[in-house]
Amino acid sequence: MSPSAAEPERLPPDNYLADGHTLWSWLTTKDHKRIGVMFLGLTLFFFFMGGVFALALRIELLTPGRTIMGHLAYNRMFTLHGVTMVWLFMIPAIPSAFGNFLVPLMIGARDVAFPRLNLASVYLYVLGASIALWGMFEGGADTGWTFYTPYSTTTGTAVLPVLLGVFIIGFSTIVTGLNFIATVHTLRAPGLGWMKLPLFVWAVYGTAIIQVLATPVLGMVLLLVALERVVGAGIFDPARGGDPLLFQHLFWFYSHPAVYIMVLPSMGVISEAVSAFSRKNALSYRMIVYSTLGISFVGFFTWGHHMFASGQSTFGAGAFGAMSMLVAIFTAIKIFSWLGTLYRGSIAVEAPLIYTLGFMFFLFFGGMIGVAYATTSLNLHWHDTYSVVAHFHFIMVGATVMAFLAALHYWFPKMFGRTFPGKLANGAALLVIFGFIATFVPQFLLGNLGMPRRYADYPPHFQTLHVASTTGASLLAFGLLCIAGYLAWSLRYGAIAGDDPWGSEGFEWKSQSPPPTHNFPVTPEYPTGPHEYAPREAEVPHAA
Amino acid sequence: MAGEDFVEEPGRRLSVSGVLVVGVGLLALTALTYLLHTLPHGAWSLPVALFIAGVKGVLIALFYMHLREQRGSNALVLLTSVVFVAVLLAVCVLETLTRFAPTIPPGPFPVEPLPGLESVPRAARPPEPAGPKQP
Amino acid sequence: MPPEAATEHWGSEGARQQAAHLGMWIFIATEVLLFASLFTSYGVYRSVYPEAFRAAQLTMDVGLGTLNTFLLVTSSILVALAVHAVREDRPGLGGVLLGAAALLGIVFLAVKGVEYAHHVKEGSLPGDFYRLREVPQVGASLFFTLYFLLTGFHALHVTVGVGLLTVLAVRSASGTFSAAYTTPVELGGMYWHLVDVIWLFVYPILYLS
Repeated sequence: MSPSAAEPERLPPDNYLADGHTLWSWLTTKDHKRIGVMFLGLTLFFFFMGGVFALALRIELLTPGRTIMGHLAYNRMFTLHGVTMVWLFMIPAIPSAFGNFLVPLMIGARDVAFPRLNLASVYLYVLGASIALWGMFEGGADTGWTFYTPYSTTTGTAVLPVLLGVFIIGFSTIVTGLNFIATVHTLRAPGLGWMKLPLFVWAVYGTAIIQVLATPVLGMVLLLVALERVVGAGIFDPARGGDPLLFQHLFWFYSHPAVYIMVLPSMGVISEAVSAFSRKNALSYRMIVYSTLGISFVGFFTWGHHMFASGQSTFGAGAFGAMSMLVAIFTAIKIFSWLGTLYRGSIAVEAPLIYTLGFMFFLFFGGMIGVAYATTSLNLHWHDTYSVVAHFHFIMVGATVMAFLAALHYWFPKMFGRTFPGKLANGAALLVIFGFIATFVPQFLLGNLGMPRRYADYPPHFQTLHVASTTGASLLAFGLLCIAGYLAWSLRYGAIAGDDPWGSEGFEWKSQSPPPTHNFPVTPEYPTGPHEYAPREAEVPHAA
Repeated sequence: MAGEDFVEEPGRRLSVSGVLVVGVGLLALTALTYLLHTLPHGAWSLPVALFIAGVKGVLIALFYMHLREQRGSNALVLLTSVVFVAVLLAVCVLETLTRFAPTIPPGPFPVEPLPGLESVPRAARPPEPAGPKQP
Repeated sequence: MPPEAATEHWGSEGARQQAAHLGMWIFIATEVLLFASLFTSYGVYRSVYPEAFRAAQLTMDVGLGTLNTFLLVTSSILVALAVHAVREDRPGLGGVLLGAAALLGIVFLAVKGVEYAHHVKEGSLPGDFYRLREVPQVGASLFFTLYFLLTGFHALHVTVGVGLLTVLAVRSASGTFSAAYTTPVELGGMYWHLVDVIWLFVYPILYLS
């Protein structure tokens, strides 16, 4: 399946995009690739919405006092931003969009294990998102995305529809995770053993374990808050003997691993991109696999570091703090392995690689600060300040969005069969990375000076840093709009990519781009692992 | 190896009498739980009752849910879920037990309504006494 | 899904069956974790209010709880026999056994309803509705909140399970299943066993000790 020498004029006629052009053919599709593309469209839409809300927040903080909105509107706006970005964009973004599209292609299967359930997960997601957003616009919850009791059980705003919406989205997540586990277990092509799976598949598999095990707990705790609001069940209400900390335990038992639902698949993307753009197999494939599984396991033991200042016991704080630091070890293994892969590789500077480098920087920087936060005594100084906001944006936006953009650029030719303007993409990538740094580094400084999070107002001497942050956010937004512009243009007018425009040896490129509806005319064979590149001529080959 | 196939070892299938023997065992263990309850019991009664329930659960999973006949990965799924239930339960209870006493509900002083929320239904407020005062 | 659909999507019939069973086990794992948050709440509040929980537990009707336990265990045995019958290519017998198990499930729900009626009469209700005179509210009302949540969610699962068993019983009696096609009966049976196992843990913590 090598690309032909002559530049092809048009997309291959039997691709999945050409298999029915009606809206109905998309709404009733069971093709994992179309479902992935639908998820991609939906998550991009919510990414845009969340970005608009973020800009509104930054504009409000441009000046002390009221700029464009009052305090309640600000509270609703940051809740809207958090709920949209966390539950509607980041959790489904990479697993549901790219995972759906790529996992069957990477393991040589015709589809995921349960295609009808897969379609149902799209509809559950749309239903949940509609209910949550309807609630947000109708009454607007002001609790933040964490729904802490007792505030969430007593505030007069529309918390119920938001809870219900997130609850339904949780089912969508569970269905996706269940599907991936069953797919990886049962649909691998003959000859493709566990230790030959592409690292992205491993990352999605590790994510699926978290999705399946943690999400039910979130579902139940959201239902408990809803019941408390409706019938006064009293389960988290101190006045009736309940314990608000129990809510935090149950909530973070899901929501801390949920951070790894966002970050693990990103790490999978990076593992693929690093190998593809340095033309080298991953340094210590096995260590990356084990650290992926290690993160999804240890991630379940660290939730209490969100509760250091909530009155949890010293024993709890100490144990959770120590466990939190363990995550850094697994992350460090991965970063070390990626750097080792890049070292003496044949580097191709393309947009996905630039995002990959950005990812590594943000993960490293944000992660190291995370280790400092896991130290209880330091944490008390930073707790609930802007510097926590900057920290988790470094991991969640910095790392996850960088990986999302890397995935979008790396697999755009796979998904749509066309390439994008490379120079423009490289420029936009640099702009996004620079804008991102300019947005969040001032926030670290602000937090360290004592600016609390979730406040619409601040004393005038913080203004310089706030203006710097807003300027950075505008740059970031401009960069993202550039990307949206040229990718939309490329969808229609981009050059035809051919089957493997990057020359990558990843398994997903073994099929035609864009793939035909049933992926492979004949079941592919897997004599080697992924990303086995022939040694370059000038190079003395190492021991293979 | 390629994707997993369903392994079902026919040699491990229960016969009708096997199903009935396991069933009688389950009923007997249920009766045992109840009988232990009627005897005078102390601090050990809950662990013992939960242990018997666990034995019954293992019997049902192995024989009635056919785990014994299937691949190890299916058992691993169940085992993982049980481990994480244990983690959640144990860590939460341990943390509550080791907590600084005044932060344990209901707390050292009565709950007051939030300012401005005195008239909001469901707002935090002191409970109306239903039974006799707590000693 | 009849077996002939298994040709191209799945590498083999074995892979299809393994996916179905593995998927069901993962679903069961999510159900276990769903109930785990309620069991955790119970554990935490029991460790905070040991006396109030004990006092509230003493007001429970142990007889009805034990009756329900025996009902569910018996119906579980019937389902296991039904799966066995279908595997031995006797779907008619399997249908009868599944129907009987569903019937026991309905009796279980009826007994639960009687218990709920008692609680409403006594006033041993969650949160705001707590009116029980003998036991102080703080702590005890949480016991009843958790009682209603645990048994309520469980009853919801029993209701779903009864529906599932009824459908399977009708389909089995009409000869849909055979020794070559047992997957739906096996998976439905697994769900019913799960409902039973959850009750086996609910019963001692709420009624006994």
